[in-house]
Amino acid sequence: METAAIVIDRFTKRFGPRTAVSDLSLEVPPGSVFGLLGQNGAGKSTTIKTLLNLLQPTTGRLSVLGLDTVTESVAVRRRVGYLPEEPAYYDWMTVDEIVRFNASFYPTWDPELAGSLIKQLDLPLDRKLRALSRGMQAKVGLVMALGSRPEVLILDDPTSGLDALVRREFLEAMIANVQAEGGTVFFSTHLLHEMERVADRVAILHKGDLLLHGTLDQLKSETKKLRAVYPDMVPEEIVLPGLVRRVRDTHQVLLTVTGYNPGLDEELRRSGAETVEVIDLSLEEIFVETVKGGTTRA
Amino acid sequence: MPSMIKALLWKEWREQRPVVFTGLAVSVSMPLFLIAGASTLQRRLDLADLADVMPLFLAALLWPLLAAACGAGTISNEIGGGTIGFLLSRPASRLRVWLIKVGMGGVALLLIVGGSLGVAAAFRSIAPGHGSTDLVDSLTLLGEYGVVGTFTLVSVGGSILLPFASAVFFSTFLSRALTAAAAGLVAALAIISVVFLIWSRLDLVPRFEPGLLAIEFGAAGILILVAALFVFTRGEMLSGRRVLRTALIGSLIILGGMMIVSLPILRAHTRLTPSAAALSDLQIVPAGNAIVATASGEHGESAQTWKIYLDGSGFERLTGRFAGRPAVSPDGEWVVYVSQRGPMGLRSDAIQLRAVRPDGSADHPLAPEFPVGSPYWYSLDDLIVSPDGEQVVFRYDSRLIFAMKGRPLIIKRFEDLGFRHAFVLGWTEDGSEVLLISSYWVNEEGTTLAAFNPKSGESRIVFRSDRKRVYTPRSRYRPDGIVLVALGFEGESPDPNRRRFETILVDVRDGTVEPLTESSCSVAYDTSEEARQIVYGHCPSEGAPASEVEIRVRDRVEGTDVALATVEGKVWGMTLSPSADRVALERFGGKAGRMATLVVHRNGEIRSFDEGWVPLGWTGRSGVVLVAKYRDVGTRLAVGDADTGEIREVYP
Repeated sequence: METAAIVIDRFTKRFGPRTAVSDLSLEVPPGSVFGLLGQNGAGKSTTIKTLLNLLQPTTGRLSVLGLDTVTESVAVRRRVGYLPEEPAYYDWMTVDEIVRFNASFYPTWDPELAGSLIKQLDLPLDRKLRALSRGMQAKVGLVMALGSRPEVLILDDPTSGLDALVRREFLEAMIANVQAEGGTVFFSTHLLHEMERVADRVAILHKGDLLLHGTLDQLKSETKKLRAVYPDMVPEEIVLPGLVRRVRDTHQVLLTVTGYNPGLDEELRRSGAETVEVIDLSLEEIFVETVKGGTTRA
Repeated sequence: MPSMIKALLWKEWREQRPVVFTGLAVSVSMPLFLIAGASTLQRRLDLADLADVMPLFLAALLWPLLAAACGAGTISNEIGGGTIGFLLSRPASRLRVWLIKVGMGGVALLLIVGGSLGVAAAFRSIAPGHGSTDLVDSLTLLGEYGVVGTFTLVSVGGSILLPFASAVFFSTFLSRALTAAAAGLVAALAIISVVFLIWSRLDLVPRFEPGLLAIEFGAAGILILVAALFVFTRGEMLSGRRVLRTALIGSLIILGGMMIVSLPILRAHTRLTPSAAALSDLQIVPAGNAIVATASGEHGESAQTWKIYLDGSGFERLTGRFAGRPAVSPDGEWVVYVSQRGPMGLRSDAIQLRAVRPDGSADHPLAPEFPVGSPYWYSLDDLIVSPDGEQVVFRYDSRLIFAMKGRPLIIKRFEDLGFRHAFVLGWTEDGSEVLLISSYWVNEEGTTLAAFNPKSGESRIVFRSDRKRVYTPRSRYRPDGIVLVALGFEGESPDPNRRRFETILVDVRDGTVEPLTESSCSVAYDTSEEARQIVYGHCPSEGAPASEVEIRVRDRVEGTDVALATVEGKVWGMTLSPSADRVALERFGGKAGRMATLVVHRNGEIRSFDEGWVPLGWTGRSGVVLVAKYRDVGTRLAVGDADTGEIREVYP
């Protein structure tokens, strides 16, 4: 059996009285592009920082490529490329100096790849970082994250510092590049359309809780909104498996369910519904519905 | 060297470089600062003096500041600049990163210290007046202070390591290097103060011990670095509440470690112990079973009051440091002593008379404090407690100081009593007056014995002679009504060994005079209860060196005066046994100087103790309390058997 690239097992992280992540369990298959979706404060960055041992789990265990993130953190970081949410670099260094400084940490560093990336991104080697724009600094970060040919690329909301062009053309190309070598990409974002475009697996975090996770296709096919119209009043109690959210009117009710199957239509009709309409949802709509519903998947 | 380590070293050096250059620049310009500062304070500028103070200036000011700067820059800059996340997400262990950071900070500091010492040495070599132009020679400048060890050890520990380590500690969780440096300096200063305070408060240090002090500072510095490492490796992203908690745990590590390291060292090495103590002001308590004394270090430091049991069962500390000069009240109920202890156990500028029970309880002040100058209370004469135990008198400089229960101190100048200088002999039998006799070395105007009543403020002349007082053994005076006065002759020999004098007994009640010897070379004497019997030394042979003394006893009631024995040497002290049938003699003479103590029995028999032992007094009927190495480190005490001549050592 193929070992998962990332395993998060019953991970909880508390900061004093505040719980940032609660009992999170996830597996990221190798070669996948895994998107962690959530609003600010959902626990995405906490999870990513814990994977790199910048934070330590309160309870639970995390591993990357079979290596424990606490006890084998150096080995983990050696095989991981990481781009933080708001990267800060030694601004007194030139681009060349910081890339070489960074390269010294990685036995697998590929100077040719790094060089071609630098050329491709049009980075000025002799310029100090303090003289570069935020977007240019983010590009330097990408070079440093990819130059070691990482087996796992971890990106913490990487699009925030990049302009639309880089986001669209470069980031996707980078992800594809890593994937082409059998690598895994684990990234967090709050931009749903980015996620929808590149991720093949998605998990939705909300206030530290995992609301949904699965492949993108699975989520789209199994998460539906049902509109049921009743000739009389909508019944007080409608019980459906996988019910995430209910919006009730006098004669109609909107029900968001996960794990949809046609049997649910029949069940609603049995409860007195005159018509039942099945509405497909985009990832953004799924996210909004689940976050507003606030319940975990049954 | 792995490229990662090289890269980290390169980065750290680049970050510490500005501090190094600043430190060296300040060092180079420091002589100019000193010259500018000195020239505003004094007209004549002594460059040689300035060169001499430069190392102290470095150790006291420049090194701590720059050590804190080097330490604070190690991690705070990373936190403040947000680069800590970048650094810690690289595949390098935090231990390695920390070691390289702190190591490079230390290297930077050493460069500054070395550079500044070089500047100091260069300044010294060119400073006019030193006459040395050799730079290498001038590097040994510290040696000329005779404090190389002290300076080096304490500087390395207190001025360099502590501020550096403290700043590193604070830099692991404070994002501003300036704040971390300031906090580091304050913490270092606090630790130094606490160490000094503990040493003083717990009376652990018999003397200034630079080695131990350096161990303390060094241990504290290393512990702080360990705590900093703990915070760095456990502090996650080095921000937020968790780091504060970790820092708190780190602080506890420091405190606990300090305790673990310090206390055994202090306990083992720094408490004044009998083997390191010199005893002085020895006095046998009236019960005869113990001695009270001032115990101090080699040079009188760390003086404190001890009670030593004569049965060999050990000793007790009656007071803390800076408290000595004990005097036992005649009833044996109180030990009065002089204290110069401040509220924190440090030496105060004022002294206070205090009393304590012989068991160490009920310690209380007898009189308000009064200020003294250098050389502190060592210049005080012995305290003399009145027969009723309620008044104490002593001499301090040219003043008489009286302390009476419940009253303010009475301070009387000798001039006001008609003396230029005087000795305090003691209290009269009823405790109403204090007897004073003019000092023998300044009594150009003759000899005066006076009595002063501190309560009424009146004084009276008891005895007066135009002849010079030669010597009166003050310590042998007892409140029994008579005083022996030795009067010199005109044109006496300048050789003290050939000096002769007439001795008289003066009755202090009415001033009547009773001749004792017409011409003698000895003033040693002692009296029995109520001064009925007087034992005294007599050496009548005219012109001969005082190499023999006849021991005589006079019964003032029966009117007899008989010789007991003749002994060799010069008798300096006599101590009559409580039953008045034996006298212990302290002798000097011959090549050795101090001669063996003798006990002369009433029947003329003589017992001799080993040389080196000096008689202090009697314990029981036949026990002579003996002391060896009096006022010297390693003072020993013994009890000699006056009947057999055997000695039993009882202390230490």
